[in-house]
Amino acid sequence: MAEESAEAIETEPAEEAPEEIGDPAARALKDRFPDEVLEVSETRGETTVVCAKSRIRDILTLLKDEPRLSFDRLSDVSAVDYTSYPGHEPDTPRFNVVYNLYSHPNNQRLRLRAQVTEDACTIPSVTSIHRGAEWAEREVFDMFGIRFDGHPDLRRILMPLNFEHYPLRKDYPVRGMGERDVIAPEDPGFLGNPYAGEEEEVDDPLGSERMVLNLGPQHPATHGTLRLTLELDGERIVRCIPDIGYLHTGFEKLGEHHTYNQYVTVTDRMNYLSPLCNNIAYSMSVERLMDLEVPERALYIRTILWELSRIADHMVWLGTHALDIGAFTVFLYTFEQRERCYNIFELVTGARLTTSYTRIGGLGWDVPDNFREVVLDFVAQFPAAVEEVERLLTRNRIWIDRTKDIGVISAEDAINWNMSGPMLRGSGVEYDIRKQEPFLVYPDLDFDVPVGKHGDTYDRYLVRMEELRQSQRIIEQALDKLPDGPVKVGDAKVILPEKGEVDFGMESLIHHFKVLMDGHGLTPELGEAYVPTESPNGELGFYVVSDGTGYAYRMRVRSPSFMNYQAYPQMVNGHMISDAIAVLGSVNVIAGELDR
Amino acid sequence: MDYALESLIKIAIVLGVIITTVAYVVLAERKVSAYIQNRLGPNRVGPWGLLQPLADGLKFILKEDVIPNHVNKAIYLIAPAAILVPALMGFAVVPFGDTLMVVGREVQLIISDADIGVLYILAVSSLGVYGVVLGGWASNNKYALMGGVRASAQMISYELSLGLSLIGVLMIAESLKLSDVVNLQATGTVLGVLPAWFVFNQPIACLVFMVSVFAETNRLPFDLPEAEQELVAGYHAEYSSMKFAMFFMAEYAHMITASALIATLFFGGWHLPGVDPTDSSFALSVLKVLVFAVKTAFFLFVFIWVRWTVPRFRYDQVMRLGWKYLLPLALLNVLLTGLYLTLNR
Amino acid sequence: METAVFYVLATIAVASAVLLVLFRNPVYSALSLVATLFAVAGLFVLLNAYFLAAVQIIVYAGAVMVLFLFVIMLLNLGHSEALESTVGRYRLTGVIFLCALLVAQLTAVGTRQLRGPVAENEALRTENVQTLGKLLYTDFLFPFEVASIILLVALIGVVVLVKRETPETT
Repeated sequence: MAEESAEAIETEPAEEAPEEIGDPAARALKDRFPDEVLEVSETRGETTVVCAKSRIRDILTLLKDEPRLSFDRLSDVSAVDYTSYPGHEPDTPRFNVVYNLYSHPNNQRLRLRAQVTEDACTIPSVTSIHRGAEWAEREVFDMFGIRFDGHPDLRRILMPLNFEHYPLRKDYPVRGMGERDVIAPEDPGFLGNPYAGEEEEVDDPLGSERMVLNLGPQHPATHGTLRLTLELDGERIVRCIPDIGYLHTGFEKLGEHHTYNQYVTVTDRMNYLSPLCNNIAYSMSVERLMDLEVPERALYIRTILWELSRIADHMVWLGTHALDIGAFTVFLYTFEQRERCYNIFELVTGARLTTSYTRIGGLGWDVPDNFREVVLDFVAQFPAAVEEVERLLTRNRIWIDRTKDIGVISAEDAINWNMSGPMLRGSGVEYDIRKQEPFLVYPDLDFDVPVGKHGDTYDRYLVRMEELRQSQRIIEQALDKLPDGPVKVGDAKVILPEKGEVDFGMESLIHHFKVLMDGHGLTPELGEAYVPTESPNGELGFYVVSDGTGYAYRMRVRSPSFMNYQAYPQMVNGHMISDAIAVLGSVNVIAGELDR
Repeated sequence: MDYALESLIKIAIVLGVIITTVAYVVLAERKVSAYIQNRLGPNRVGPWGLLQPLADGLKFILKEDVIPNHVNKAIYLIAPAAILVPALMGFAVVPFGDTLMVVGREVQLIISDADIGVLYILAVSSLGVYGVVLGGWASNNKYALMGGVRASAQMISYELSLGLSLIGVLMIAESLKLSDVVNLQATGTVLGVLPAWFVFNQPIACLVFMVSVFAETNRLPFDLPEAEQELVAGYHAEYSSMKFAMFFMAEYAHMITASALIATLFFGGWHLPGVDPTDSSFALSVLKVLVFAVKTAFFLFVFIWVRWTVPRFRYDQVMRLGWKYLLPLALLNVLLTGLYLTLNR
Repeated sequence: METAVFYVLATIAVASAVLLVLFRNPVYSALSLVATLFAVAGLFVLLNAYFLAAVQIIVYAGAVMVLFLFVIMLLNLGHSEALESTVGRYRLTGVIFLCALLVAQLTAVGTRQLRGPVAENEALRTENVQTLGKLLYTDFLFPFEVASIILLVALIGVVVLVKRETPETT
């Protein structure tokens, strides 16, 4: 294990010679911006470039426009507060804004960290280059108080508008600052009225009034707690302002105060339609951080469960999507299938929703003996169910009329808005992390990636329907190849020993004690890691920064719902209310994951 | 005076039957939808859940009757009545049987065999929209208002097709009396084999009428005024307890009247092929009533069946269907019928 | 019996017509007009003019007034000061027209009184619809067609007006 902590940010402007840099993008940056690029590190297959904030826009423009590089997607923007990071000096910049870039043509990732001091807590906004940075930058502002110059709409996004603190700063306690006594209903910020203080511009020859309709946070079609403020001209939407954060639970803050294995239970609650995906994606990031090789059997089981979760998730999406458009029966058909998936989850993990099945370094326990038969039973009856739903919808005139050419987003826009998963593929971009940046055992399995053409609601529907069939294929193959062997790494410093051994073995008792004692068990090296995964909704990944203790220093969740949802106003503008509901269904926003 | 008494008795019986049927259509809806969706449906109250309607009714009565502060009280209170009354009134001119000998009197099984039967039905059905519009407006709620606006536009649009589709039937029947329409269907055949039901010699009219009736009753795929997932519950979003139940009952009463009308106008009413329509023995008269009931029940089933199968239209699509397809189709039917009648004269 | 019903209906008609003018809330006004229309339809029934009664309800109560309500609801004319000022400006004109109307009606009633009751048409009493239909399509065919053309013109006019105001709407 490399002792030199290349990630430590406090080092002086890098002394490394440029020829040591293997990554072409980092090399190009170093050449073009010798003064700005402070440090380049390449660890665990991830390239990180630390740079000064002043020319961040130029850097991102270069990365995007240079044909060799073409980092056309800004996958995530987050920040880290380094105040209490080991080796942090008071005079070094307190914050780093972290940009996570992806290049579709080159299938490459690059992480940029721009340094921001506490005194000059601003950084140029990159929304003019990547539209999809809009909400992520707002979240960084909301959580860290870093202002983005030139941002079109820099408001708090998850916290109430009149909230006074920046919760993800290290000096904000995890228990909060006590009850807020500043809640004043007459304060427009309290109600989060996006129209507060805004003059109404009327450009209407007929003099007809526009109506502002509040959709949610309690509304049958919001499936959770979303709120849309719609400005309507008749039934046509003129403007749409989503307001999120009603289910904000501070999962990222919690990540800094739970040990690595404890946090698995928190991930259950993010995308609560496919909790296993969260468990697995999270564990993979920490495992990369600790350089752990998970046994193959565990990988196969994870893959099977991942695809079952995709089916469960897509089933809820399909049911509620159809329900929103009025086809109630489909909802019950799909929920029957989801229940079958949940039965399997219950069999394997003991819980239907709060699965918490993974451990860092493997799985909590092996699957039961009848796992194979049960899953095969499910897989055998599943195609008929999909078929039945397809017969009800796919060629149904009303369904087609309601979804075709509704909520169109072009391939270019979809990338620029940082969409992923079925949303992106519905627009015709063939990007599936299972293929492009394989994880688990996907390289060994044979499956197709369906893509749409028009980027409308109907294509997204078709894409997801095909994904269901592909998931079934994957599960069948993975079951066939499922090897025997352990489901946890052998490292006793990482994995708790079996209960029986602890009772009778001295060695195991010591290991048990050490793993559970603060600062002795799971303690990754200093550093950071991010593993992108293809969750049912798109790119899901946990950006984990470790400070060498048993707790993550920073836990960033790059959730697909959050990124996919921000282009929603653009997708529904000019459509009718009914379409807004239909598009909402096709985006498949999961509030737990959206607000985290 | 005898006539008045007879009418009163008939009204009482018909109302009683309709209201009971409403309760059981609700149960049927739940049972049929459950069957369609691989569920069991209500089965706790009474055998096969047969007493469920009683429990539902009791629940509605005992629920707290909330009148929100922001509503326009007078109109808010009128609206449920304004929707339920026309829904029940429509049945007054529907012949639910031929004639029946009761204590030596020959009783016509129809409340009022009015000269203008068909017009009366159109008039009454055109009033149904008031309850929806007023309820939506008085609730003083944007969702309810939009529901009311959608309902009024939709119902006015489809009333046209509804009325025009009937013209073909009336041209052949040469009478607005529903009893005449049924009697005509009970005699003769179409193409020698089929009964002379209007569904066979006015198929376009039947199609247009059925689609329009779905729109008039606000049932899926035309349930936009209350679209749960868009407008929450639309025009009755602010109603609770018995007032909500009245909206609810009105919908089902509408369905019953509509089904009875489809049966009467296009499927021969009480006529059963092979049964002598002129024979008015007691057993046959009862049989005719049963035939009528079965036909009506069948169309009620169709209503329920469609609801649990298809998705919902969008507002502009409903308008387009009504104005660009159904209305021209109905006009075409009038034209074709006119041509046919002229050439055959 | 008939007379009693007549007076009840007539009272309702007149009372709700007065209320129509007196109500401040346009929705109430519209509803009282509906009541008037119903009462008048009832009067038609008393006169055995069933067809007219039905058509009155279908056309006026069922369509025209619903559209009125529709517009009132959409524009939300609950508390319009603009409306009041408009009414104030035309008050004198209104009074003049009202007087003129009154005179015209009195004259009409007066002359009919002089001419005596309308000839009883037995056919109208028994076969109301048929007789009316025959009359409309024979003796009164021309006015009937003219009326429909006028309506058509109005319809086209509205379409043209709306199109011009907002060319971008489809």
